[in-house]
Amino acid sequence: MKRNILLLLLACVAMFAQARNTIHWITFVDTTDPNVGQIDVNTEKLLYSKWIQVINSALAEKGYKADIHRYNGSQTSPENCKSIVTSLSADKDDIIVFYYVGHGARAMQDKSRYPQMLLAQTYENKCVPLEWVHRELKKKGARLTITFGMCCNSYAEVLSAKDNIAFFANKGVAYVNTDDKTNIQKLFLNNTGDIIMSSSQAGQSSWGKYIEGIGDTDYFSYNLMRVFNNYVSKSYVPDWESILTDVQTLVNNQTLADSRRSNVEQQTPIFDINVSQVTEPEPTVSDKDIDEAKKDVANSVPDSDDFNQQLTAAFDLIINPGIPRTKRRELGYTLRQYFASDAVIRVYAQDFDLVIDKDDLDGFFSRITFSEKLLKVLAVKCSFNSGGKIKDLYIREYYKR
Amino acid sequence: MKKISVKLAIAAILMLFAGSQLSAQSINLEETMKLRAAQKAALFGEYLKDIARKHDDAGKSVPLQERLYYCTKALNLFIGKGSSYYENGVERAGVMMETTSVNRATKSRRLIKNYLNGLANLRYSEVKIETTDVANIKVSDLQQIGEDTFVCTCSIYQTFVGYRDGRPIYKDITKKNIKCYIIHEEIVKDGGEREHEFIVLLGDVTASETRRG
Repeated sequence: MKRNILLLLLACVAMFAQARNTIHWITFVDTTDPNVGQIDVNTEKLLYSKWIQVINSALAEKGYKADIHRYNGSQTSPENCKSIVTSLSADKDDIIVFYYVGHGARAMQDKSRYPQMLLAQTYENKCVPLEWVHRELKKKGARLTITFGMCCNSYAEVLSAKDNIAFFANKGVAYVNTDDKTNIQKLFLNNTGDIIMSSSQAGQSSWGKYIEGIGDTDYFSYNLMRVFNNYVSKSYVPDWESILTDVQTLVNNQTLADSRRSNVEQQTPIFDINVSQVTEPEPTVSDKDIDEAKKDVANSVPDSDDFNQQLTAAFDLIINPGIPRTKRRELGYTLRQYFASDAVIRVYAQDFDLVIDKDDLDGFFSRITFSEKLLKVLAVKCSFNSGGKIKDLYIREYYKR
Repeated sequence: MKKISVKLAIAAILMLFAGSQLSAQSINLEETMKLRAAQKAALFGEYLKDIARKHDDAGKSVPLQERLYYCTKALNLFIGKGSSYYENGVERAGVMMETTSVNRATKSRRLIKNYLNGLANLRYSEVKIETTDVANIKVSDLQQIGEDTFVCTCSIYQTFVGYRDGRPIYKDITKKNIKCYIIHEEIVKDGGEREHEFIVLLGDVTASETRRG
């Protein structure tokens, strides 16, 4: 039954898909570290709710689907990093964003300005250079490739210089303003090239910070999200150079100021930008896109992050005002048969896992089919009854303003 | 029922989440629920627009059957799905909708389902309704009316234009106040784990400040 749901989702997505351009997110967050793991848990939640899903919501309107590779806990490992970085494939109009939060360091003889990532382990020969990740991802030929590393860049004598990985992988888951949405779309779709940024320069550590009302996070991630959201809310189209320069300045100034009254030290992010302006791609659907969509869903595992992504992709079509409402309603009716008749759909708050509203099946599908203001309905988790039908679904919603 | 301030009531509910991330963000919960209420009120406005209008953006006629379908779906937004419900132990016949007109001094009140059906059947050749965007909806502070029930009011402005043969023959702008219920529920999951949830439902709609457009 669950596999039938996946195949059905796939068919629905394939039938109505208007565009298959994709933004690929790869995030590695070391949530297991005894010292900073809990800070990183909070940072990951903030990244996803305040930044990643906001961007996905804005780009969904331009037909971009989100392909999320989220690694945390015990999944944060050099092996998984190498595996996803080497195996990821992207088309020419796709976007790739890599984000790492965890420990990092640099060797005394490292030529790269950028650090090596420890990825929740301490064997020096397994550390992964951030610049290697960036180079490999650039090779995929995507429209825009962005690599962020939130980690220390301080010297570690035991670490050897690397411009490549030194081991073999073991083969063995909220209101976007109309103007904000437009600026996000232009930032990602009207720029082509690559960007790499690290949270600190050579010889420096990267520091955590408690923010009132947000909790524990780090200077870099917090300022990146804050500056990004400030810039996209402006009346003019922002550029990457300005955003990253501001992040650099703020992190530097804040850590410098805080170093006078705490054990924090000065931290200065570094970046390289190599982008040029371009016109945004036309949304297209080809037979190849539909075949790939079929493969994606057929390979997804029920009750997994992949399954939730496919469900989200189906919801993208149901809420798409570019598709006639009658067709969207048909799609909703098709999906409904795979939910239990007494299924409850629970809406999480944007910023935390509290259920702020809920619907029965009819209420949910009629609401999302009808509303022209929904930007994204994100499937977060679901559970099945003994008959294999979805009985509980938790979602997050993002609205246009 | 002993009256306590809304903030204390919400804080008491949040104590149930003590130790979780929510404690650090408790000051945002009331605003989160008010925003959800505004989103639901805005969606109601979208329904009104599409129930009333007889032609879509492309000029194509929207059949009455389709608009009556929207009427039934809009009722999902309301407490008791628009039909009878209990408030403070008292049974209400259903959610009421108050309407006004610049052509009459008195207000009229009808059950919401009857109002929506009437809206779909208006005898104008075309009706255009616009309501306040969610960002501009004013939401009152929450008031506690029961152990686990809070209410607030979402105020929207509705512009109503009725056409005959392509010419506007009636226009008014009305301030509508939509009562919103925010109900806290404690759910016991399959494994015995307790979870705390909220549900937001719309209630009676009153009208004020009608003026000619």
